[in-house]
Amino acid sequence: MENYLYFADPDVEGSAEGYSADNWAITVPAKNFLNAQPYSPTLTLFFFRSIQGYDEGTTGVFITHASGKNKEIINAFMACISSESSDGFIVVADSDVAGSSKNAEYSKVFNGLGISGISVMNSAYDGSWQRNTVEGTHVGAGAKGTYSEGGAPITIKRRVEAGVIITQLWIDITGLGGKGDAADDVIGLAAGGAAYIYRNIVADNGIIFKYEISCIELPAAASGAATADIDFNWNASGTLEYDGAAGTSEVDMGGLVAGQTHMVDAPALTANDYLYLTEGDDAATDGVYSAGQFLFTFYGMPVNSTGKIY
Amino acid sequence: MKRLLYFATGSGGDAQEESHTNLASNIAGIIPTSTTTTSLYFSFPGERFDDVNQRDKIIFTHDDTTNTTGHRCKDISRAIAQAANANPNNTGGLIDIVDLDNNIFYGNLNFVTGLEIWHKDDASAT
Repeated sequence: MENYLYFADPDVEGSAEGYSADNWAITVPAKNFLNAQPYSPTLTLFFFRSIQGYDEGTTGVFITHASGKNKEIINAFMACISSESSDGFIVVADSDVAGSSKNAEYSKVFNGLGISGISVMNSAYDGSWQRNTVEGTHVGAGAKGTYSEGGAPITIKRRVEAGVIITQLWIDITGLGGKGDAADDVIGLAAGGAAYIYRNIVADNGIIFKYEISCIELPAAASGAATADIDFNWNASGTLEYDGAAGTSEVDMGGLVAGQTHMVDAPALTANDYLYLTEGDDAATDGVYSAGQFLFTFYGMPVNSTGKIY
Repeated sequence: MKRLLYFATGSGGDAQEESHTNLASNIAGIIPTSTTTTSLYFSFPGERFDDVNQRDKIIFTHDDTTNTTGHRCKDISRAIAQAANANPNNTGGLIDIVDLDNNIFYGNLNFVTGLEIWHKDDASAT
């Protein structure tokens, strides 16, 4: 018998993406359970292999319960996984009340543990940013374009290989704009807001000793005229906005086209500096981008990491 | 014995994406995708499970019961779970879930009015 586990948000309406704000539900095979962990005294998080393959490959369920009952909740959930049902379908936690037309339904294994709700979602994306990408810490609000095809406009992924921290930053610039009256001005939302796309946080990315910038999609303008010559600039200021002067661009891409990579092998970055997209020339005229994607791959190494190399 | 789940869109079942057969053991999960659609995803053994292009998908179209009995995804999930655990001796191994060519429905799935079949590596599959 293979058990299939059902979880539902309060008012299920459906969504193709499964953001945290969506009213979603999932049914997953019990064999796809990955792990459980406390999130707070009243929240326990369960991870399953991703249903759709989004993000980091996981789908998550938060269960809200009485304070301090995390271990009991996990233990009860394990009873659900291994229970003998008549048909293999197990309602673990169904908060759906269908607009008050039906009652919520929770497995009896949770009796006495004070379950008051659940939240089902694709794990790494909350409909705005990835959950490991904090606005104001890793990216600025003014760098948030309008791309929404299954993910955030900026995605940061990180892994460690033989002690080297490899950080990948992907950005789609759709919705961002360039003023065009001067080169080296910041590209961002015309409405304003700090427009940095990354911050060099050494504790996260190590000492960056090399990085690559790959053009995945050539920038194009939706309105006005926008330059395809996009450069990059690291700056100590975290408050530069659209059309702000970023100084001489440190990375001159020279009109990189899709399928090309520019490597920076001696970055010598300053800790906590911010990375900005800048106009490579003054060809734009109030342009707003309708396309344009770049992938940054940063290679970093922590200082005093000898004991961590494997 | 393996359980093979069969789906047909009602277009004849003799051309690409008009029918689909997959192993119950490949089910990745079921989600509601709108008030009137529910999607069943299949994965492949050994695949990367963070790859959106490695899924087959069946989209069920159904009535909107979100404000009456609750979203149909629960009914579909229950039927799929039952089918995935059905006694294979009673089915010959091939289990009709929804066959719109022959109006065959597993359990109480006769509220399903349409099917779409998406195969992996289809850019729009998710």
